[in-house]
Amino acid sequence: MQRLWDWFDERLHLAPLWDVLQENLRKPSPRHVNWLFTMGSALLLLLGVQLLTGVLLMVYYKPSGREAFASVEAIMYEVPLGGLTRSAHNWGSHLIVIMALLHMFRVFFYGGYKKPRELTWIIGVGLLAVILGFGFTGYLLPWDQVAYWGTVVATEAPASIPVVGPITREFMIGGNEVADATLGRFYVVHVFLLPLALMGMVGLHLFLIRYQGISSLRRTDEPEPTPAQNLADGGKPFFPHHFLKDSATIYVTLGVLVTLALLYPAHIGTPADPLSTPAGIKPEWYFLPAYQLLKYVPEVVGVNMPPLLLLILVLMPLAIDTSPERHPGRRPRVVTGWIVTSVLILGLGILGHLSETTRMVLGTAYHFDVKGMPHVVEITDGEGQD
Amino acid sequence: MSDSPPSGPTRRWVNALLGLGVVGTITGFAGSAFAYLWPAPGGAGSEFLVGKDGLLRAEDIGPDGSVVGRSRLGKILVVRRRDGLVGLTATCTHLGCTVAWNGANGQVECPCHGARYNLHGEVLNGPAREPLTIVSVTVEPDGIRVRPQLQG
Amino acid sequence: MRWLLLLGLVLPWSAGAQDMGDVPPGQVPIDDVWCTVCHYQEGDEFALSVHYQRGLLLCDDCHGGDPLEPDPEMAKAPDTGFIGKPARSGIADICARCHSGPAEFFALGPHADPANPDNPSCITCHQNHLVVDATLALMDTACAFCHVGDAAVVAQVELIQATLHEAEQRLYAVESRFDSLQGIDAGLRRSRGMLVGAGAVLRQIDPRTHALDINLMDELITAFDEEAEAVGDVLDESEGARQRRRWAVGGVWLFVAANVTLLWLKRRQV
Repeated sequence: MQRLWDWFDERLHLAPLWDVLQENLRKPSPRHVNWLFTMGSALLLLLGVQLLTGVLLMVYYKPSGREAFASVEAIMYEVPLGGLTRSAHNWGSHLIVIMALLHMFRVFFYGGYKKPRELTWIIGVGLLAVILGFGFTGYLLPWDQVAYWGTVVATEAPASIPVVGPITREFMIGGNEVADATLGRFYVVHVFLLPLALMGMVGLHLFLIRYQGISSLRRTDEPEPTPAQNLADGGKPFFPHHFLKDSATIYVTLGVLVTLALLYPAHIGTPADPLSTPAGIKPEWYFLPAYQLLKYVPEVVGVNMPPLLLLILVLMPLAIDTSPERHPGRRPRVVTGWIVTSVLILGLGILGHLSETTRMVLGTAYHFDVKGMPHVVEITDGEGQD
Repeated sequence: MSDSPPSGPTRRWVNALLGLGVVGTITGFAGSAFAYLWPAPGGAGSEFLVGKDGLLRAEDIGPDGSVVGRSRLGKILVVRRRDGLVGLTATCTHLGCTVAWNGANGQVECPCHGARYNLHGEVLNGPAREPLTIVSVTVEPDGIRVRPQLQG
Repeated sequence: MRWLLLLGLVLPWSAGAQDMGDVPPGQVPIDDVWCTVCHYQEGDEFALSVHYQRGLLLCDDCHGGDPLEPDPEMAKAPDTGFIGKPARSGIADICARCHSGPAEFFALGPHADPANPDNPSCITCHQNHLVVDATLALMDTACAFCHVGDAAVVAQVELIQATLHEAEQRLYAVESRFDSLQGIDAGLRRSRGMLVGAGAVLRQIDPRTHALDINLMDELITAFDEEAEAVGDVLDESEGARQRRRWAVGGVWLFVAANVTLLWLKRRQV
């Protein structure tokens, strides 16, 4: 082992690099770093799982309108462990969105995105957009009715942007309706372009985190604590202390993923039929708030809200939350605004889930209309009797 | 490398088992991927000669004409001679290309490196060294049945 | 000041704004239907119905006339096939154009004679304009409207509802068991035909309800039960696969627990 190290060291002079690495891995973090800080590693693991299962799926998946559905069925029913691989990929995509949002909330509440770590946060927002992009493009690939029509609905919206709207939509879907060309484009984005972007951005994101260290809860106009001060406060280094916590979270996350994949396999519906729209088509849960919003406001406004939200996120440390306080208790307005916005978005999502369904609530049947408003299903005397 | 902390028996056990856990997890994933990628059997093949568009018919082979199809015995070349149909394995014994019948000189030729055989499968010209195998072909209502030649 | 600039960027864009509203794909917006200018109450009700929401019907499909013609006289001209409010005796025929099954069985039941003014028509229970998906709850209020305090009718209604509910539950049980096992046992795919067949048998119960004859309904449920049993046998074999997976999950968590414990031990050492 030592001989192998020496062989490389003689040629690349690795010793100083190794020392810098060790220094960054072992410098004590602030004391408040707890289990909530392990979510980033869990995210990294999930991304790795998606990459692995994704590559495996690529071996048997055929990205053409004619063959896609049959190839997914073959993966589910004929390839050894194919169903498990696909289900893991499917559940992984849900877990990643949830984990990314939780991680973002954690960073927000601890003020970790403030100076000097704004760049890390902005890359993080970019990563969130990339993750949502993965979900959006991957959704179409099974080419069943839900996938096809969900994509039709989701790609309708950009067309309402004046001037550039229609051409943007046509560029995106490769024509004037969702078809084979759309599948080709979404596939390339999903398996090549987005992973490329993801790896670059994750690399940068991780480097910055290690390089700058975990933020303290002090004000930004106070000097950052030195490693010695963190050590004196009782803070622990990333390696090996926090790394062990990360590993435990990783094992548990893997356990959850494998359990879900084993007991709740991914579904495949009926093959896509561009001539027949099924009732009640909705997008995936993480797009429901945007989808539902479009039912209440003019399309032009609704379409611009999600990009606006991402812009607001990017501007958080730059223009919106510029107070030097990191501690959430000392930035009440921003924290309240964040919570209120989150609750509103959650509410929209719930309305989106309930809309266009009929359910029994406490013994009465309610039909929730397109806007999510409940109507009691009952009968009154009919008119027109002569 | 940095100096390692002093180790005792418990420490060694924990380290070893942790390492085992990591190796186990990685093996689990790698093994699953391996099973997933295991090549599927190509399919048993049919007793009847099958071409690009389905079962081949003997009527389609003209005098001194030939056809190449797939079967349970692999790729087979069938040639119609004056006294009936002759069947041979169609995979050149040199490097595996598919051979073809040349009616003009009455030889089976390989387009890749020029190997030539006669209708008994014997090598007339290298670079092939081993002969082609004769197979028994019979014309039936369902198609051309291909069977191994029984040795006398 | 910066806000004004932002507004200036947004305002021109709203010129092209269009309210998504409730218009289903391929359907005419209710505001474009000229009948509703006068008959606005009916228009409001109809807009909430499944007939409108699923892009199936407009006013003329039942009443004739031309719903897109602004001039009231021309919209109701004879050559448009305008019939106005249908005669009571003709209501069932109009609905039967699409809902032939229920109409056929309704004609076998106690309410069949349209000449009898005490008998209901299709729209008495299902409404004429605000037609929603038929549900079990419909029978609660609809029957009591005429048969006030009639215990025998109440009992019969409850029996029919219970039978319908029972049928739905049985179908749902088999279907959901099948669906949950499908991802787990690949071989089940071949049995899907059996399940679809069984479901098709049972779904005929909805039109049969209109005859208000329990025997007709029970006969269908018996036929379904036989088919469902065959499906059930196939599913029982697949349960084994699900059981093996549960064991695998147990094993996974044991492994996770062991490793987390080791990590905790390691943490204490460091």
